[in-house]
Amino acid sequence: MTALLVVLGVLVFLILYVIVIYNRLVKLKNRFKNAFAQIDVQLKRRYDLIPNLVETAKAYLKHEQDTLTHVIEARNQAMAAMKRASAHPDDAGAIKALAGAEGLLGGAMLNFNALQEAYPDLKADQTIAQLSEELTSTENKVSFARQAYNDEVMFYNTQRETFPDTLFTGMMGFKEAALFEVKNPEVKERVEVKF
Amino acid sequence: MNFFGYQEKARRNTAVLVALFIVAILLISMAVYGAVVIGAVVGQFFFVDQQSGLFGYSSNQMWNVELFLWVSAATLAVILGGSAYRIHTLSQGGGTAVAEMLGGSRLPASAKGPLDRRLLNVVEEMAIASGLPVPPVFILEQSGVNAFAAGFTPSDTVIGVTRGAVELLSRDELQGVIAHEFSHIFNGDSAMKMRMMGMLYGITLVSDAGIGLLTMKRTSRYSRDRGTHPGLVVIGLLLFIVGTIGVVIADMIKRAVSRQREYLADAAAVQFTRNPEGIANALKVIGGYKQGSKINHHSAGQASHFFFGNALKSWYSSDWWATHPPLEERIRRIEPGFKGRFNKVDVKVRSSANMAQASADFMVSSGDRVAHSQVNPEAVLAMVGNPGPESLQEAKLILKKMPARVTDFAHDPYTARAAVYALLIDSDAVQRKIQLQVLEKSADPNVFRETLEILPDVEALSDELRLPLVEMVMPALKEMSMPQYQLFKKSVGALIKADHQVSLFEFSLYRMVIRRLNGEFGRSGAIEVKYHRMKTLLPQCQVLLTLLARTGHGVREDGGEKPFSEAMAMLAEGEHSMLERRESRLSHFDQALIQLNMATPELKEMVLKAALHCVVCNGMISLKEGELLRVIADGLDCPLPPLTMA
Repeated sequence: MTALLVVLGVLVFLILYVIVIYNRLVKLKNRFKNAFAQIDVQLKRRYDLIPNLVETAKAYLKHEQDTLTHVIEARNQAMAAMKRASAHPDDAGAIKALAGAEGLLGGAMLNFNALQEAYPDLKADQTIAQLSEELTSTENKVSFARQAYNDEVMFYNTQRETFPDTLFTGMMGFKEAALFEVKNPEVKERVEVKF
Repeated sequence: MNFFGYQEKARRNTAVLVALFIVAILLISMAVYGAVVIGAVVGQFFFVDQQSGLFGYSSNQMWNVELFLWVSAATLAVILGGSAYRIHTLSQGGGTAVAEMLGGSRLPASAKGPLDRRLLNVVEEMAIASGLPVPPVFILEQSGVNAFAAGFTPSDTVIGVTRGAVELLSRDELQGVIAHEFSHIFNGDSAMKMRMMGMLYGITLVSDAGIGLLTMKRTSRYSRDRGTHPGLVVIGLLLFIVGTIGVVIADMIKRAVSRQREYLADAAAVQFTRNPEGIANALKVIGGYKQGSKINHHSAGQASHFFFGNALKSWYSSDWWATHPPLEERIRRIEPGFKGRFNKVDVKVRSSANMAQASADFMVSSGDRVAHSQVNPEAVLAMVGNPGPESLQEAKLILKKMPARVTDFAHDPYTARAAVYALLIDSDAVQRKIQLQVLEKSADPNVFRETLEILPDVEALSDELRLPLVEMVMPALKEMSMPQYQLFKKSVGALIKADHQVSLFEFSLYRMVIRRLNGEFGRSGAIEVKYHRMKTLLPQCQVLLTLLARTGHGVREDGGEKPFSEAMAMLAEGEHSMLERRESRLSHFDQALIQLNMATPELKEMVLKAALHCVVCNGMISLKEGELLRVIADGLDCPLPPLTMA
């Protein structure tokens, strides 16, 4: 009788313990998913600003259509990637795809900004200056939100790999989450953007 | 009854809750014992060949004291363990934990969609009107129309709203619902519901254990393990039934404790908005809508008592049983002529009309300032946790006066930090230089630039807008991650200490901001009531009143001796004199407030009353007095609506 009771006790304890592990991981997963919402808002803002900027710049850049097209194409791709990622922030593939698309967009924007140096008229335009300023500020907000997201992802991934959680994570379907890291666009300077 | 009375009642309800909880444990222990006995009997029936029955127990004895003790101990361990665990996670996560458990996603304070914006604005208005920190908003992706408020203290409280409510309710209806939720916060219901959820978790856990045993049986059959005693299966089944009994008992407890509070919150919402139609129509929408207020989530049962409307529909949720009173009755109490007929809700028509309205009325003009006469302490005290339509109007006015750029800054976690830094920067040229140097070193360079950017706008703010700005930045700041928060906290501290002296405003701001963020980043959890008698708290009151009296009257010759002793006389008999400066520094004040917050609501009321008396002694509230008063009310977790200051 005692043996049975002990077995029963251990069993109940184990079930409870697994519940605890499960809840803890769910909580951390929710945290980073929620942190993505903030990135989402800022990226949307950024994707709204870019076409405005390009539209205004068109008047000055008759001979630089390529650069402009690249910017718009990169923006559209990044936007599509964001839609997928914001539907499933826990899908590592979607996040990596978004990070890649964002990197390309950053490179295209860098080329675009380089044009501002070449065309003083462009740089002097009030609307362009204002839009660029707003874009910079939005980019800062994006990177701040990204940092918050990455912090939360790190907490989640660390917990996921901690013993004994790591014994159950596979079984419970807790996949590793991806950090949202955009390669520094500076490196890509002068590199032709290809699709 | 006023705010303090309701708080006190909520506290007593917690005692009732504990008593019911103990009864429930006893009942469940008995039921589990019954389950084990029946399981053993049935097990014996299946396995007649076995030498001894299950647990060596023979069916001849229906009552076995030893077995009963064992069973009770095990049940008790499971229930208490489960409850302790839940209470622990809740006190760590606060309202956010509940929202996340229900699958809610945080609505960024910077969200731009018209419907999201409308919701955030309604919540912000209500919070400013009542003097609460603006709570973060969570969206539940549910088509039912429902909402909740969860949290132990104002600083860890969150508001949750379903997608259905966002899309189907008009602005007035949404306002009514949100006002209902806010009054749960004022009345101490939210905190009580958190405790209730923690305790009841252990009870509903028994049904989980039953499910566990049942599923275990299935796996062992697949592995052709013939050793599983059918008795265990039966016990599993019976545990499940017992667990269901537990769930029903839990619901009974919820009903006993929270049902009346729903009527109360409805009435308070009407009083707050002075718009009975808003909340009544929201209830009618629920009545005429196919999805009603249903929440499809596996955790909805645990949290059913948090919701605005009935979240669950099950076989026993008939009117007399449910956690919420019937809709018809609730509407009738607001609109006595209501016939009980619900018009069918056309989802398409309603949601597109709301979308159009939300897009159109971004700048709703609010009327002129309503004249108050708030210098009377009794009147101010009556406003605590009981804001009226005047406060709501005042809040709308404050938000309207806030420059759009500052509002934008406040709603974004990135720039919200800059807004807080800008608030702390001194207007004095020398001080400012030192502070800016410190900030440049401690904060992110981009944020430093943003701070310089917003500084002129923040400095131009009139005094009445400065503290509301502190409330407005809260939800955005709560979106930061832990490492970001720590950096922010450090920078704020460095900025305050830059000039080697802490001004009253700096102190107030720091205390309010950090206290509020603690709800998100530190430990939240209920404040324990430790002090029941004024006598033990007199030294703390002395500190509080000394500082108040000196702030208001320091310039004059009498140094505030008169208002101090008058206020002190309201608390205790005998002579009390003002403290020396070295005994009443801001650090003493801080400690005193922490201790006073652990007093019963009745004592808090007395303290606040004395403080108000001390302040309005000369017939008006100066800016500094107003700030100090706000810190005191905030420190005691008493939401104080905005006051007009002279």
